[in-house]
Amino acid sequence: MTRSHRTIHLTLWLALALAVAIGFAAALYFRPPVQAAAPHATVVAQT
Amino acid sequence: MSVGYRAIQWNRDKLVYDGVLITGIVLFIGIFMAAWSWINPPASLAEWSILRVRAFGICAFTMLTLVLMIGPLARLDRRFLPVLYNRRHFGVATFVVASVHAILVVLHYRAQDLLDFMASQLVNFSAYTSIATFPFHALGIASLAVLFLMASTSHDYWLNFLTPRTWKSLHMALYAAYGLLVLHVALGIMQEYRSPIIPLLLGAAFLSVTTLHVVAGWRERPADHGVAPQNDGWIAVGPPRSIPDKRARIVAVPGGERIAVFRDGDRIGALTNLCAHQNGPLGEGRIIDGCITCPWHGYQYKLDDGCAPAPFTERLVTYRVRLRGGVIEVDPRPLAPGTPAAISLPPGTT
Ligand code: FES
Repeated sequence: MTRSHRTIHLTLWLALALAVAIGFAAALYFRPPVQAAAPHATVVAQT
Repeated sequence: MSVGYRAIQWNRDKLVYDGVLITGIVLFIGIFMAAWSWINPPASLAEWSILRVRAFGICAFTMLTLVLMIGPLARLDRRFLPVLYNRRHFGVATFVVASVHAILVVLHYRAQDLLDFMASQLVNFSAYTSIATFPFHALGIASLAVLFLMASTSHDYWLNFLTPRTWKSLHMALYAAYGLLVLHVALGIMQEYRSPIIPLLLGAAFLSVTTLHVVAGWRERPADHGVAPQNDGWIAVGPPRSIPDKRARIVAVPGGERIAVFRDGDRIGALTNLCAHQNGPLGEGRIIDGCITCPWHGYQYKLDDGCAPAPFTERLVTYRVRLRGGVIEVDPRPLAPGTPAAISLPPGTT
């Protein structure tokens, strides 16, 4: 790998880790209680 | 390029790699479906259809996780290099499994008469504002689109057409595809099932991949600071014996690229550390059959001039080397690709 490629690679992973961690934490925190889940969301989430 | 390498055609190693890969996929899907249907027997055709969708989805996710682990693992531990050899086939197989998952989803919704509803959800922009209603399929579709782009440009034709530097940069989009896939699962099935197993496995997979990439990248940072040149601009590498026979020591020019200084008995030669194929780390390779051999896919170059052995035509940048005061030194100003620059050491030096 070239030097610039290594730098971009590391920066990209750090940024991706942060973005996905935020999304993942939000998805976990805001999980609707099973009985309160919107009916369409339940159907769509079947797959 | 290696003497034994034949472009496009298959070789035994590739066939074995692909055989193991296909067997692994079939076993994974088969075992998953058998185990799930044993624990939780599907009661209808629709439930069987959902099980199939999940089996392919989980298989594709696992495959992408493994594909992304191969690179940093090979950088951290040479024992993983054989897995890297045919990683592109692994990537293409991941796209195929993910596509089957997507096709099965569409077939499932069509059988349930929900295809229009699914399509309307994708363009219902207000649904994107809530976790509960987020159309997670959109993330899966975006991820699949990136996988398609990666798979369709994975061939060496595109590598040559785009140049290794551009091709490598383009293929970093795979990381984004993985991020999208993690969120596809987090906003999809993780919302449906309260079991902690899904977030635990999902989080562990993403954390493992991220940690490996960050650790492998971080470990290489000191080497990029480079060695300060002497007054005449040359860089000290070390005594000849500090370069293992048939291997290299890698030195970096401050702010520049790395140089691989190889020793083959009493011959010393310096080349760029970038392989002409995919910019693999040539200096981590060995001299095999008299040629410097790239650790990634086996392209070969002559120590004397950085040229691939006939009939291949790749040529690498070389550097001048000298022995001064018992120390090998390299001139960091690159010579034209293919310029002979290796030297012979006086008897008794090594
Ligand atoms: S042989 Fe593929 S990067 Fe060197």
